[in-house]
Amino acid sequence: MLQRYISYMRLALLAALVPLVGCGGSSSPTSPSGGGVVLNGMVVGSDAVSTSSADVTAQSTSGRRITVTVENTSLSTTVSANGTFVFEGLPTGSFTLVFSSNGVVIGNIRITGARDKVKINIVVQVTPTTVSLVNLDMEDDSGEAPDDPKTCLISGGRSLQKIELEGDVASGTPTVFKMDVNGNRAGKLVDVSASGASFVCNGEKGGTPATCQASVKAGAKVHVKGTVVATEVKVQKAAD
Amino acid sequence: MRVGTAIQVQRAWVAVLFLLAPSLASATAPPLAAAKRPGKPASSGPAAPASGPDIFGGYSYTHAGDASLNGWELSGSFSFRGRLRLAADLSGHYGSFAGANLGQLSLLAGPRMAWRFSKVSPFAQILVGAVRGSTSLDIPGATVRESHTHLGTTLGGGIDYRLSRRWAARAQAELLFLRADGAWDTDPRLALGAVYRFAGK
Repeated sequence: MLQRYISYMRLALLAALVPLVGCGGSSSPTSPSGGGVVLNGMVVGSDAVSTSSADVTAQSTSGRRITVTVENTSLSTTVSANGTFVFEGLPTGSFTLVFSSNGVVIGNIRITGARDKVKINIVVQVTPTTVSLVNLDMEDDSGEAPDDPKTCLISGGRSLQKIELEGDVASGTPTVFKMDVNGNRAGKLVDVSASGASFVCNGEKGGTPATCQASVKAGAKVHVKGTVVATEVKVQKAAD
Repeated sequence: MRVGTAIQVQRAWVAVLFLLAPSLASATAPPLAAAKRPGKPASSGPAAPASGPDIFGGYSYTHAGDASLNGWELSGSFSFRGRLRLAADLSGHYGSFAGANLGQLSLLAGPRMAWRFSKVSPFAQILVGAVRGSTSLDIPGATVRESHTHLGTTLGGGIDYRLSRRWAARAQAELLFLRADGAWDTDPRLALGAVYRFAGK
């Protein structure tokens, strides 16, 4: 009798490569230009983002201006005093934003799946040593959020966002594995990093964390709960 | 719009001083001699505006970096000497960009030169002070709040059109030079509104 364990894991860190869908896109003050991809960006400082219920009001520290460059192109711009930057005529498909200060590269964010005549709104947290994606939204040339929420593939994928996923282990070890998320019609697997996580077995009496952890292998049903850390985001419109 | 170096800012200062210098000189010069023909007043060019203090309130727009912000502006001025006045300006601008909410509050003060041609009173001014910007964004699982204060200088002017003895309509345009992170930004500002003039001496 095949016993299936549903392991309930609390993850300290969940690394995900997830398709992002604008399941509730934000409004934008301007319409995208005809042709190409438009990207409106905001840069916030190291202490501006809080994931707790208490808001943290941060004083932006002075430093050198941040420069944003599109890798392998001549497109480059400087972040303004209020943190804004804009790119127009970006290539469709994939491109990488490289963030640097005083000639020193701090980090980059790669965006894939950008379609023509799409406007991308992105908020990025930049510290002296790291670049993190905080929020990403997309709207098409109609100025509307592109998706019916019912057709969203996976909601979330924003860095530092809490996320819960349920599905099957596709491959890997109990601490690092690929997960086939339920309802993910894109067929993309999610990378899960469960080092430091706690393991709980549902439906099995007498199970210890060690036995639960050992049960996480290909074919096991799992429910994971953790935080998203995304270094690559895919801008994708759900299929009609 | 952004100015990459301080040279353009310095040139703007030179331009303003060049513009204001003749008026500053005339504002402090001794009175011209009266015309010999009795009853005919001495001609000394455009008249100085009413010497009493005035207040302005109205709509204001600015293009801050890449964001279009709308808001309000309040200012007041009083006569210092002749055409030279001292002005103070308080404004707030708000909007959104890339899904985040932006705000900008500025408090500036400085000299203003004003003239009067019948019903029209043009003026030029240069103000210095503090500009406080803020960013906020609420997303599931995270809250973004950030604020920063920078040195700001505005260079510009406007025109008042007298509607009545006390009231005038004003249109104003200026450039805001914002110093942040070792570089200068140049943001345009526009304002429209009404002016109330208090009784002068």
